[in-house]
Amino acid sequence: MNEEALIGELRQGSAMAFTQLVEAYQHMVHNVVLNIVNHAQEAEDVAQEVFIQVYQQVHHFRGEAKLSTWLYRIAITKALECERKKKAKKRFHTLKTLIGIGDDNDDLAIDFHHPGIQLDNKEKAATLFKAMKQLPDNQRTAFMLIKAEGLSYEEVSGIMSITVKAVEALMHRAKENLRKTLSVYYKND
Amino acid sequence: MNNNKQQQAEEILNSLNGMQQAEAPAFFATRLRARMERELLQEQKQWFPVKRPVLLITVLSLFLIVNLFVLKQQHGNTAPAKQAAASLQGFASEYGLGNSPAY
Repeated sequence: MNEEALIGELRQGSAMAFTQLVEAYQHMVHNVVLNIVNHAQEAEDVAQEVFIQVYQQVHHFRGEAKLSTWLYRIAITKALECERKKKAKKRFHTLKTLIGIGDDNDDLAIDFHHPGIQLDNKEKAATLFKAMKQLPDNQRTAFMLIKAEGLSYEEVSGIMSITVKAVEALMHRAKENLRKTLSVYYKND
Repeated sequence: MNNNKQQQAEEILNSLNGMQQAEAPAFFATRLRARMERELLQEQKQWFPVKRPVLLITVLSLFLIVNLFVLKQQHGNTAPAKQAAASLQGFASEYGLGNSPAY
């Protein structure tokens, strides 16, 4: 079934078409979410939410962009939303710890090891994922899509709805900021 | 020393090169279907259509205002009715109609 036919079937509420969509895009959606939330169980939950939103809002999809572009947008938005919630929860937890009603052990940060990274790069990649969390959302998204997803600048410009020049600028600033963050790590070593 | 740090930073920045895509966990589609069935069923069970607290407060406030308005209207309407009842009683007592024995 081609993309147009699949979207048509989805709009009519076809369960078979939805299953086909999930089968075709589950790995892509899971991977992009995992690259942002850095936690396997959370990534699965968010990826499920992405498909639920697709099922509920397929009527709003006008077909101007590719289906994968639309899925990338929903996945990134949902994953960043999850990250914001986590940060808010962490701030609340810190506050609770400060006033003495929280548990210190809850806040232990665990390094994220992506399953697709070669063994000799695992530690370096874990450091990079940690540093990426310090970036502003748009820089983080551009860097992640290009470096981790392996997309081209044109594809990223389509997903982020910005020009290729803007993607280049975001990548440049992301790298600069990451270098600064990483230099702080080295000072601490 | 500084060059060494720069080199290390560049190595870290390039550590994602050639990474493989992570696969979704096994039975992802099955768990997704189960969750959707659960959530959609729960949505159907919700009898009250208003979910957002702001909307809920607005609906309740409107309900209260309408009730108060109706109560006020009814209270206003009882005064002429009382007057009419009083004049009827006066008429009945004047002509001895109210408490005359039946025998």
